[in-house]
Amino acid sequence: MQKGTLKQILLITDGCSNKGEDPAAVAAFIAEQSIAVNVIGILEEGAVDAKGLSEIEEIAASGQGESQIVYSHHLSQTVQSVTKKSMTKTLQGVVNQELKQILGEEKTLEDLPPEERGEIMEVVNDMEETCDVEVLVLVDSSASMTHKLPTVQEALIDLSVSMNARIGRNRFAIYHFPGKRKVIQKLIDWTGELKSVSQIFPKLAGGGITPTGPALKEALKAFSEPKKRRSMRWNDYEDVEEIGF
Amino acid sequence: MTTKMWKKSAFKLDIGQVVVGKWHKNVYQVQKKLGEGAIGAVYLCSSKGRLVALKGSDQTASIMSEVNRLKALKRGQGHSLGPAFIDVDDLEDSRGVCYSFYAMEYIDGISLDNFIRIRGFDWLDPFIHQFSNQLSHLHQAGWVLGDIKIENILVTKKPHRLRWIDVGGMTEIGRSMKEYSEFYDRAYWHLGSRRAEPSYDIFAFAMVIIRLYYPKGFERSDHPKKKLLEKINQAPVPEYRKQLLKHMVQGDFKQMGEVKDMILNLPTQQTRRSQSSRTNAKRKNSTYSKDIQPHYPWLEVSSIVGWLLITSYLNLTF
Repeated sequence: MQKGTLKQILLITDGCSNKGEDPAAVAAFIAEQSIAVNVIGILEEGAVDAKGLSEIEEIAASGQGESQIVYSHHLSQTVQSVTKKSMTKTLQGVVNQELKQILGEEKTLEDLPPEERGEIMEVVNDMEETCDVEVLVLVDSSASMTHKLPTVQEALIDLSVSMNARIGRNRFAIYHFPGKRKVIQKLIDWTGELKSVSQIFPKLAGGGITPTGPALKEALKAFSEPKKRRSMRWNDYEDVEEIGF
Repeated sequence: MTTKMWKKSAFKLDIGQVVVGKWHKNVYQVQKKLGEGAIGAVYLCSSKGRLVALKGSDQTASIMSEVNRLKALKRGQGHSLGPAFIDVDDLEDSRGVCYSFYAMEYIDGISLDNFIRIRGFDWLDPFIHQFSNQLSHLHQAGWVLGDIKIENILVTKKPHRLRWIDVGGMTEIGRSMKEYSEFYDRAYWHLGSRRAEPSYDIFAFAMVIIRLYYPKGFERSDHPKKKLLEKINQAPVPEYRKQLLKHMVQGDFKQMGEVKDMILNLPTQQTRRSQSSRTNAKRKNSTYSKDIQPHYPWLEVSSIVGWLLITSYLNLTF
């Protein structure tokens, strides 16, 4: 049995993009490559930026991922819950696709009686625990984010602690944008363990530019393997057939 | 999880509203709202002449996972600890939006911290014993309770027993923790992984006890373990309980039974002090902030009666 690998981009930002293509459009393109785009917006206590908020939601919606707005104090738990929720969503998507083939179009999980749904959720939970996961973390390092980076680092290390408690394998890579000369700059190459990393973010001199769209586009290239239209297939999980309808 | 969010769960019921399940057609009349969490909201409802707690959400997947856990709790003989499962169904609102909900036993009680504040710390050892006992049944059935925190533990009225009200964190042993709360999470304190093991629950339960002495909690420092042990040392805790807590947080106990054994082997004069329990409770109260204490007439039982209850309870479980 060949196990599927779930791929995600986790964008951490604190506001609106102001350069380059529309990040929501790029996220839609990335989602087409079976990579979910999740967005976490970090806010200052008391600040509400309506434009930033709607952009964050829009990117995640187009990227078939999850979004969450959070005060920096709560970041650690949010990072892991967004990552896990997004995994559930993707895996449920896979299951729903398959249900459509069995039950016909327009049928989803919700159309089944609760008892059968419960059995399917068990399968989704099993997959969540055992599948391999690749998370590319893309951190906005513009000036307003600089003082939040220690919290972001703590949250990312915490994410690897959570993810590495799973049975499946994990790989993480961390990039920030904008880079000095490039759109995005690699900070940590693909690795299974962030715990050993003492300093993720070196002294970054943040400017005022936030090219979120171009950064997402570049991040896509950082996923190593050639992209198929759908990297996770039902056949990857033969044991799923045991549900039996 | 206590994360602040803008995206609130859309599941909302009105007082007096009648909910009829789409599949099983059971009828629920909404009495009042009991609470709201990251996943959904919980309402007190009456159904077939009894009170039930109804939890609903727009996240069907999460509701189904929790239902699976409630059912596992039943299989794992943990049903006397957590709420009993009653029903699972969907609800379609007037706009045609579908929500999932489940009904479970309504557990009526007061929070553990309020109970201890009123009745005193003498109740702690019997409670630790009871909780350990039931947790070890659950562990033997292959599950950890997970996300053990003070808000999720209630003390029921008659008899006074600890009950558990949130199954969202229940996880099969060997897997990664479903949900956790920082203060009670051993990985946050750098004292272990987030893999579901009996020792994960033991740690979280120790933090519940510690929280009774520090109602507002405290944050970890650069040396989380050192900070935690310092806090245990500084708390107005009897020496034997300090030792117990230190063993619990440092992963010295692998099974809940070891915690139970330590409680059972305590010298009697330290555990049985019923005569002075009221005065003790009053003295300890003064260390808390001057919150207005709620009045619970049912708590005005003499401590002797209380002890009779505990003793009879202990006899039952030994």
